[in-house]
Amino acid sequence: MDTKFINEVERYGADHFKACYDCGTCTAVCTLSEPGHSFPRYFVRLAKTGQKDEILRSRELWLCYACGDCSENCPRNADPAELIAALRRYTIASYEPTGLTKLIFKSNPLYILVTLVLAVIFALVLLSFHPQSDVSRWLFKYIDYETIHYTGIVAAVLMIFSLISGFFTSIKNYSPQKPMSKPWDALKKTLIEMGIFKRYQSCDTYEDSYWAGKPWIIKPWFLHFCIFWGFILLFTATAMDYLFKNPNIDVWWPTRIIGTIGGLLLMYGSTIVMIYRLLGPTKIYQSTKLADWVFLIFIWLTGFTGFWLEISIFAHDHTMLTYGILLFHVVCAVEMFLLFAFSKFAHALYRPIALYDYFRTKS
Amino acid sequence: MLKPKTHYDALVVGGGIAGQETALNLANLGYKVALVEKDYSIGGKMILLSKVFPTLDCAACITTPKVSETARHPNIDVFTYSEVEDIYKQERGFKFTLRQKPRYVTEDCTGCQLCEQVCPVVVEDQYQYGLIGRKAIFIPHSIANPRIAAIDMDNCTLCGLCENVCPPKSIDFTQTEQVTQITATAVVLATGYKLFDPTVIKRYGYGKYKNVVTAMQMERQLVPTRPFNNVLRPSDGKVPDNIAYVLCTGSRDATVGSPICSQVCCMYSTKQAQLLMGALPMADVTLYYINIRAYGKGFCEFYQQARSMGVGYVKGKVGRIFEKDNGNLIVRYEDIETGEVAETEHDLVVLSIGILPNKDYQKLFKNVIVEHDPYNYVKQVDELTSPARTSVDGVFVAGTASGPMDIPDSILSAGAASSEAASYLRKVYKQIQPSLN
Repeated sequence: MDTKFINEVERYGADHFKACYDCGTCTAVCTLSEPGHSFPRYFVRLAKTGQKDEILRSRELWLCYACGDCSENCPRNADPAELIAALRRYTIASYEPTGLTKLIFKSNPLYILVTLVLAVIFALVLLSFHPQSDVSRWLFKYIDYETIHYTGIVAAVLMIFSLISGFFTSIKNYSPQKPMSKPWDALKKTLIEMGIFKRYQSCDTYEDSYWAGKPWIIKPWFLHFCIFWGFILLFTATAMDYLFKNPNIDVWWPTRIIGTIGGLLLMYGSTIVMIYRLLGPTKIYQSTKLADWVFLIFIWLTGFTGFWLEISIFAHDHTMLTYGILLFHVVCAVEMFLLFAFSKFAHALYRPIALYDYFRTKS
Repeated sequence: MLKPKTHYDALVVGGGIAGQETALNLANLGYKVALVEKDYSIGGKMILLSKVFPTLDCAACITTPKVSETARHPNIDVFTYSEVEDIYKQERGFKFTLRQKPRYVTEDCTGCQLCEQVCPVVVEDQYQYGLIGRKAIFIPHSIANPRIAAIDMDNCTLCGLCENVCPPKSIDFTQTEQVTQITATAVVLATGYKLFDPTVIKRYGYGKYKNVVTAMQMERQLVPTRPFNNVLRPSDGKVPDNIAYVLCTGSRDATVGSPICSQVCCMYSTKQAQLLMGALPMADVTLYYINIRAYGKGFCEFYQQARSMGVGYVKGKVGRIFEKDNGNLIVRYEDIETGEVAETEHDLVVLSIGILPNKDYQKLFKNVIVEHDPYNYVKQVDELTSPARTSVDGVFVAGTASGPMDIPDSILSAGAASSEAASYLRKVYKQIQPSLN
């Protein structure tokens, strides 16, 4: 029992959960809630009583896809989905060993500052790889480029270290329940769920839901699907380009096709989600926090500059602007991945772990 | 059609239990009262109920003597099926328009119901909350007052069969609306409440699932004049043996604009559960609640009595209801005691609907504003020391027009309103005629 914990949760952006009067409507309307995995009221209880260890151990925190049905139907407007989002930020921050995430998630100005400073550092690091260019020659008159190089390496190592640490912290919290299915079965189910989001599709299916009857192409699960597969395809394309060392720019080159499809999916998903977050059609989008925006903006900027570059390459546009965009593109992508364990992106690590644990212990 | 006087000491808007109590108190003090009721019968919601909590006294047995007394009081003019419009505050008192709508049946009606037998039109009976049908010419319900038939012109086919069969020839298709300008010195608002419409909460499937009924429909199945003489579920007429109550349907719920407690749904559900235990001795009754608010005199004992009779109380608000092919219903809720989500099958679900403000009073006044509280009930400007006062001098509020309350509280509130109105009348008349003692 820790009564101060409520204030801590509020600093992570949960403003309304104290209004809860424990009726359980949220748990009852949640399609993912089931005996043994009953939430979201569970989290309100944990947050109110300050049971930090239970929160950090909780698999349900990551099983939730934030469809927002609970918040729509909450008779007290206590916004349980907002609390879950805040507790995820709390968990990401707690799993990350440096303590930087704790600071940036609790202070918006600091979050923006850190993001921008890191972007500048990464840009300088990238420039330091090519000290012969005009910009670099001008720049490195003032700053020792070795220093920049090492700063970048330290930052990268720190990020990777945080990622590995988060992974093992999460694994360490494996539920003590007896496994009910074979590891391979659980892994298979986890991979299928990650690929097609069957559980996410079961959200918003009742006629009283805002998304019921709307075309699947604009439903939140599909947008999430697009962003996820956009990432996977772009990552594949980048990796293939690197492996084959073949910067073939032919439109029909397989790597190019994969990259273009991935980019389109990523742009489609992130653009529509940004529109939702701006317009706020449902409560879950109305309670958008800076951490949501930072992640989305990174995705969108990476995708946007990527397409700009692709078009520039076809147009044989070798101006200074194109190189600037290239630098910007690489900085966005690098920062997004290096901030993995320090941002909302970390859910891509913790959700599969939770899903695996869930399928492993489910009878 | 009753011909109104040109002036009354007090106008009472609403002929429910609070309006009647106010009118009777004022009339007994010698004041002339106009009691205006928009429905065909006075008696309000209470006359339709089975028993009252926590004493389990018969509601009709308490309310009908009061209804008769009101209707027959020499100082009270009761205008049923009439509406008040355009109230203007004047230097002293109020001026208003009384619109008496035609019933198409004169006061000669003896209530023999021969017309009902010949009428060929059957429509849903609003006084039985849609459980059964009624004719286009009908006596509202068996204890209606006045016991005069009325023709529902929206559904009447003007076939004239009733006119032929009526022994006292009381049917008059030529009746027209009577509009009269009247003055009154004081106004008492006893406009009551509206029942929550559960179709708003789609998750509960009311209107879609046949065996999801409102508590008012269950109440009508339990009254002495009940339509089926038994408790039946609507889909197939089966006598239910596993009944669920969903408490706080449309109360304490900000998503439907009704964030406050209805003050009655815990106790009337407990009452109905006890009555069901008597009517259907083998049936299981389960109440799903957020908190049981048994706050009044004898309420807690009444609640404990229900528990000891075997009524099941489950802490957890029902989130969703699903219908099975056989008409049974699955209620999904979180059992707050265990923290686990659960699904239970019942063959009848009763929604314990809450009460909403009747906002009609907001349109009545033309040159003054009767303020409302945050929940749209009439604002009590001095709730602690003068509970019947409103923001307009000379306008008083009685009963559930000022907020959710049970029957005893409504009658208490009406007592307060009548005594405050009486002292106001006295003060005004003393100003006009200082010799008055």
